[in-house]
Amino acid sequence: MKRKAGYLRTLPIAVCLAAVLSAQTESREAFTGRNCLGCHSERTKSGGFVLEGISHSDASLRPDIWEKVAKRVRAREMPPAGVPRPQESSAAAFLGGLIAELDRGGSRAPFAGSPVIRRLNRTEYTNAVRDLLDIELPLDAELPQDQTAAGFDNIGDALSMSPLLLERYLSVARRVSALATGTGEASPVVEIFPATGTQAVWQGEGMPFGTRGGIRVTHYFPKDGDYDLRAFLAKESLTPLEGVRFFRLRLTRMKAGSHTVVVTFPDEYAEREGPVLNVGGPGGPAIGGPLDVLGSAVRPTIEFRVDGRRVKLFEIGGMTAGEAAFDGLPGPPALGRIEIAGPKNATGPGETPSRARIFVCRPGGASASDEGDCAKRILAPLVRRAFRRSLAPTDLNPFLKAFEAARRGNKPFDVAIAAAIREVLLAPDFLFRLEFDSADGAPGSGQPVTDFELACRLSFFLWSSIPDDELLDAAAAGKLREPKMLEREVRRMLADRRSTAVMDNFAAQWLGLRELAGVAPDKELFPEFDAALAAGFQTETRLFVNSLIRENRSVLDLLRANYTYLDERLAGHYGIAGVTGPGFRKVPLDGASGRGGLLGHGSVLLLTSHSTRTSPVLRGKWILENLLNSPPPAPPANVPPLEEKTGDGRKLTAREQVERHRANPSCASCHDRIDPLGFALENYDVIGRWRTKDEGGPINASAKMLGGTEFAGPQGLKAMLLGRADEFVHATLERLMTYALGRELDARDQPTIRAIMRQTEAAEYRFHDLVLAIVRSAPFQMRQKQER
Amino acid sequence: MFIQQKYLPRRTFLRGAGVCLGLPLLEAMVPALTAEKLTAAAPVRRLGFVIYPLGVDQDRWRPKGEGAGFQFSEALAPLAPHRGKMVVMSGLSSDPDRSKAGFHDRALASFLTGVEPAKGKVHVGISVDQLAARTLGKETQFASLELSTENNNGGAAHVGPVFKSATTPLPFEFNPRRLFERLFGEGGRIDPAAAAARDAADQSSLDSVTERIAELKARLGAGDRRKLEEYVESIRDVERRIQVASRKRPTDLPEMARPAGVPDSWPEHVKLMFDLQTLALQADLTRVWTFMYAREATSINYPHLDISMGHHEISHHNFEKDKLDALAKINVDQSRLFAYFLSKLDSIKEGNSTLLDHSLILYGSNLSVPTSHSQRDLPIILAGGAAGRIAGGRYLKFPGDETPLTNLYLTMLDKVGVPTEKLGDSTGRLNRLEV
Repeated sequence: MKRKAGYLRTLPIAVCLAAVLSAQTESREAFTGRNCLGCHSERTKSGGFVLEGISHSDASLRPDIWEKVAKRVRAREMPPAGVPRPQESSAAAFLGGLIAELDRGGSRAPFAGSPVIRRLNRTEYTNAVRDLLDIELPLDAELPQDQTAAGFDNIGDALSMSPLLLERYLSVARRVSALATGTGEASPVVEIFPATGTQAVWQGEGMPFGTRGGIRVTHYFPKDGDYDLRAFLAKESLTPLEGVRFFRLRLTRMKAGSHTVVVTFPDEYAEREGPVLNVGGPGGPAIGGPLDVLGSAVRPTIEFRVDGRRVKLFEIGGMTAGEAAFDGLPGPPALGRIEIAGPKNATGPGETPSRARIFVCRPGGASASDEGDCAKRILAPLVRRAFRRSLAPTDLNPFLKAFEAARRGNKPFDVAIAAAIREVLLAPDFLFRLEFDSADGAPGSGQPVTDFELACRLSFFLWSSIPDDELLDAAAAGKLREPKMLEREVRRMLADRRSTAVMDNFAAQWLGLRELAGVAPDKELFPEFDAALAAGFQTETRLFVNSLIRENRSVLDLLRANYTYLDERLAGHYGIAGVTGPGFRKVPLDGASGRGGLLGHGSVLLLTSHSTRTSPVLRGKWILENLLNSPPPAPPANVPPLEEKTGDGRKLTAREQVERHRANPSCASCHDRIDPLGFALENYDVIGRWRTKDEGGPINASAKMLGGTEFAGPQGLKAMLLGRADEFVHATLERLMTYALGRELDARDQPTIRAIMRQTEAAEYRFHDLVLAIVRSAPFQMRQKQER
Repeated sequence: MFIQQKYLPRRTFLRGAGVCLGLPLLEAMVPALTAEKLTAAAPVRRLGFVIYPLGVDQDRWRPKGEGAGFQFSEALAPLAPHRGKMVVMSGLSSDPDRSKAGFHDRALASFLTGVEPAKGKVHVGISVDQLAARTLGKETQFASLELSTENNNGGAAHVGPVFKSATTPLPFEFNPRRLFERLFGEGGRIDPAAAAARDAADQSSLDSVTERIAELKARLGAGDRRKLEEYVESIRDVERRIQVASRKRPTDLPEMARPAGVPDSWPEHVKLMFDLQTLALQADLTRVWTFMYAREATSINYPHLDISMGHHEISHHNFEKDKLDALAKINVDQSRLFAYFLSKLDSIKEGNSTLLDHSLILYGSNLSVPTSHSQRDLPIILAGGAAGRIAGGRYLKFPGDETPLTNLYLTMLDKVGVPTEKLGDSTGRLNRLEV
């Protein structure tokens, strides 16, 4: 195997060396004395780091110090440039001895950490409600955004409770329990959905192809019955018919449950509908036609769709955009908002999946005890799933109490069940992931978590949700820890649809993709960019990472994959031929395509650009931060200005601008690490297209690292990174572990990470292997007892 | 009127809901709560923080002259009509540990706390607004409000500027519809009976949660207990809201329709949030609030100013002319919006003066020179009179950049009746604000 991890190659040798250390190589004291202590003394304290006076005899007593030393020496960042370097062999021996000793310490007393109880974040809350009550509601939008720490929004330390959040919980629990049981008020309610973003273009994923602007909502219809759907034109757009500002459609006999409603402007269509109902303008019924994006002489049409089916086409008439433009009027018409009003003529709660899930029993007899038994039979499985454990006899009491109180208040049976479910959703046992220390053992001592706690750790790691019954049953039977069972469950969970949570929550945050929504390149310089392209970028990366997870590929494929997912538009954008028709599909890539791996994804390239030009600095920083987990320090204050032009007035290329930066030695100390990585990606422009020159001149994509390694272009960069595969995998594991454990890692976690790397190296770090190794590791299986 | 549920007499509400609540507690609270109202002698005092991100072009921000004779700068010109009710300040810094490099998360976390945020965990310090809210929040439905126009935390460690305790950052609301519903009830419909029933159901749910938490705390370690304690504190806050709501007398408020959602245009969004803040103050729903124009390091752009580049990108101007011009243009717009808020507050009479006269609002940015993330010599303005305790119409230049901003906060806390000896890196009070 040619491309084998650097330090793993040297490690066995180093371990051997360590064994005969005293006889054949210099001592650790001698090494640090010669290479480190000159700067890291009590007196000089370079970088605020002191090595002098730290015991050199057993490194595992001070992992906080020695892991730092190991990391910097391994990355060849220490000793720094300009200082004589130790001989490679003596550095390797020093490093090998150090790591072996740290790892021995780690296996002697495995570090597990004692994470604080974690509140469900809003994604987890939404998924938990979905899996508990079989109801899909966009609750995450109803809850305040969670605070992030260590790059993720599932870190216990940062997940606080606040009055605002509690008020939202109270309100959301009220709504969810009413909707799931179908017991909400039958009186009609008007829900308003305003248009967002620019309405001049296709609204992206989920909208019909060939439409402009519009609104798409997934709305939960609370009852069987009729609903009014109203579409209002935006204030500033034309009034097609005098006095007509909205168009109404009665949706009759809608089934309770989730439906997708789309109102939009189609670019073209074949058929026509008759006179428009409910439009009583002075001109009589409206006659119109299709609308062209750029405003050719066709007349606006509004289309209504429910669950993907066109249910109505209004020819709304009015001026064409061209006529409007001639008169200096704004246009073409755009939607302002839609409203869904209902239920009207409600006929009942309907047969929804939630009601089927909840009402596993109906009270038969009239006696109170019969009814109480029935309530118990309904609530027991729900509460077990919500609390993710077997129930103690008293666990149901508060909920039965709520049920009984409602019944005493003459509320119908179903409403009383809703009241009980609402309290379940507010219980700390639901809202928090509780883990209890066992009574024995001193604070700090490690102890395995219970099987139920383990089931929870698994489901929140892989599904961002609560365990299902199968997982709970395995835990209840005490079998979850059996190695075969554990592996089977992990593989089952990874194969389950819910594991897309790993992409949406772990990978999206890891790679910074959630930030993509806020990135908008300059409209004048990049008129090709629109919502559809942005959505395409997202889709490509999502499908790509999901495939890697689903197909259990090596995480190295994130860098080196020879395939990606494209639709016609994105393939055209990238200059890849042979992809036609709508929809994304897997596309094999060859070397000539200039693509393959995340570093060729439009999502990443756009995310790391300025709005008007590329930024080798941002791209380099992104690679250091996300792929090598070695973020550069924040820039210092008082950075001198850079020049944008040369003496003769020619504009500088992006690279030339950055090069000037690096000419300043105080900038260069960091930028020599950052910029070369970004230079190699200069062939990609702001929106990820391939280019061979920019405003300033031809692209120079060659780069030279601090240590002297040279490479050029994306292929060269990838080869260089794959040559440092150990660092990339180490970084990936650190991010994945942080997410899995919900706490910030520290030096004591490093032996575990190195152990996982050794276990998974032979099969080239396949994703499932990494997950399994994490799941089997001490920090995942155990916790250390907290101080009382 | 849309807030009718707020003045339902407590007892009616209890009877109507048929639920037995902690009456003794309620009775005990009444004397303490009837204390001050809008008398001329002791008008309600309010404390606000309006923060804009990413600093200023200092050359076009700094006023000319000093003291009462100062001249408005280009960036501050829109605020000229309010000259008599504001104090402009320079030379104050929020840079707790001067040996540390500045960055966005730090600039945000230290701005209201004066504390150097810990690395690798959430540990900062209580923020000035929350300190005030402990006292000023006792009588209102909401101890404080935290508002923005964007989701507050993007990126690595942005937990926001407001901390209820060192380890409890508070989330921000940016959706006007949800803010409206939080302030005035859900559904946008007038139904006092339904609101009362909701409050009663909430109260009873909270009771059973409180019981359960007590059981759990006995079995958990210290770190976990602290997390649950946050839950308990939030419950107390919500309970107080329910109780205050049940006994507050009606206030004359203008009608306002429930906003549909987040407006497309950013200035409209800011104005709507200002309208709602005004309403919340007018109805005395809160006396302490923080409003962020946008999140830290925001990437929004400003089509209404013909600026298509993102704000964050502009702020790293590197002293290039184009970007400095854009930044200056944004600064003017920010002042214009704040002037809108001040006019609004000043138009609402309270006794013999106005809502603005009874408020004390800090308006400023947590960065001064954004291109280098500098938190020194910040652009700061105090607006409002704190009920006659602050004399406006002045520009105060503090020499150098060594004076901690927290010194100003101590003085502000004095002015609103919450005297405090130390906050973060404070070294004493500022003594130049006296009337």
